[in-house]
Amino acid sequence: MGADEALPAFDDIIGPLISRGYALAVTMLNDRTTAEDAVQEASIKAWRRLPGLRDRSAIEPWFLSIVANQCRSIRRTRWWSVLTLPELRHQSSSPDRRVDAIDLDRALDRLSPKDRLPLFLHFYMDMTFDQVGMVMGISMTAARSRIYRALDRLRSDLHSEDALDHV
Amino acid sequence: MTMSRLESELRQAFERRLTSLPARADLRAHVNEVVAGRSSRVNIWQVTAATAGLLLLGAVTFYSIVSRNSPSAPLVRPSASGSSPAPSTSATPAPSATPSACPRLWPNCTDSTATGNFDASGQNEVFSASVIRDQSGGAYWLLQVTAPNGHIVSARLDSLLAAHDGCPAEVPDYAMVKGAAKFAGPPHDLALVQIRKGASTEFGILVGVQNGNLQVAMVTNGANRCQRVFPWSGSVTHGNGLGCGTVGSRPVLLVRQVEDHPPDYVHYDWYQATYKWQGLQLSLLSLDHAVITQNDSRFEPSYAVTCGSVRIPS
Repeated sequence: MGADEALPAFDDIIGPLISRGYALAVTMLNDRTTAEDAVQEASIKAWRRLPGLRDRSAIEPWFLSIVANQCRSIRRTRWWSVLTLPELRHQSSSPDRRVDAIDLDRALDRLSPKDRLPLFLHFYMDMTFDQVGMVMGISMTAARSRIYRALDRLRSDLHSEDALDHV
Repeated sequence: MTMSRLESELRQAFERRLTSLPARADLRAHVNEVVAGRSSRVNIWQVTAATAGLLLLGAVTFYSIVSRNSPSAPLVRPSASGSSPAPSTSATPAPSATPSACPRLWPNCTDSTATGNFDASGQNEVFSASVIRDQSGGAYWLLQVTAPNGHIVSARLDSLLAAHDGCPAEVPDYAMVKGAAKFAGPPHDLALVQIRKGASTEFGILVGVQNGNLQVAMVTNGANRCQRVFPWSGSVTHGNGLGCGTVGSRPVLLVRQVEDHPPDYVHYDWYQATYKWQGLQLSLLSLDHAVITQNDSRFEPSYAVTCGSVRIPS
């Protein structure tokens, strides 16, 4: 396949998914450049593995699963993100934001990417439990459990922050 | 907070995150360009492969004619440069068969080598990475250390990076030997093998001979347990580097990172993890942090690989 042929084909198939892939990557990595790196690498991998994809209707969760794997791989090699993300997020918060929203943003920051990912897929990308499972490489039941567990952690974090505010 | 309100707040929270960290406007076009670039590289390989095939056919014909008319010669094996104590490296395109084995969209199928003392024998061996086409039509990367006496130690790259000891597998894109140095101190050299390249960051592994086998260096404790892939290079917002040194008389690996923080391109968070070696296992000794500027002597090494003769960028 020539470059001229590959370009429109790639853009037709993977191109529309790139912005969704970036949204997922930046949610997991909280860094624009790194998220773009992750999407670029994931796109190349997806294009390479595309002939092996049997069900083309499942291309979005399939592609996002490659992006999520790429993000996990990047996170394993970039430990500073773990150390500095909450501070970074606080810097970018505008001063007039509602306290609740700031609390929620902080609580989301404190969640591990493993917990943040299913929440993002389900509540922001409107994916079903089944699709969340596909992206995360787990069963539908496990995906549902992960979402509820992450919600529990988020709520309990919000409550403890509430409690601190009222001390 | 009720469930429905939490759901709505969550959606807005994620929206805020995305708004505060938007993708570059041309991300889709950029990725298209990168994929097209890699595809055209495949085309070049295909043309090269066809040419190489013809040349190979000619060479085989020539060899068969010559061999019919000359006494048999001993098998010529790759040989090292001999007694030079400093490892030397080269990364040159393979002249013949390798390009034809380059699968579609593999970004790189070039043979590469480095010379060093990998088995502590005192003699130099050649460390090489090359693509092998298997019988089923697939292809894989083979890493190999060849001694002057012809002794070979080899391993498939995907096997070296397979999941083990509770650590997940790493998926390499290719293998390019960047050089060899005593990352773990004397007497062994380790090869730095690049396996992936991002938009701004490059990723590699350290490979050495241990107990007669090829093995990959890996972090075995701390938050970064399981790390086998080490990044270098970077962009204006972040950088990664790798170096070697000693603490007391003990050899250590220095893994460095910088990040623009606050995002003003003036102040950078600098981190350095110091790992001690036990065979090819890395154990965290200390983690240092400082806020530095670009003028600080620690800034440049945080984008580079510096150990012995390995200097990236050179």
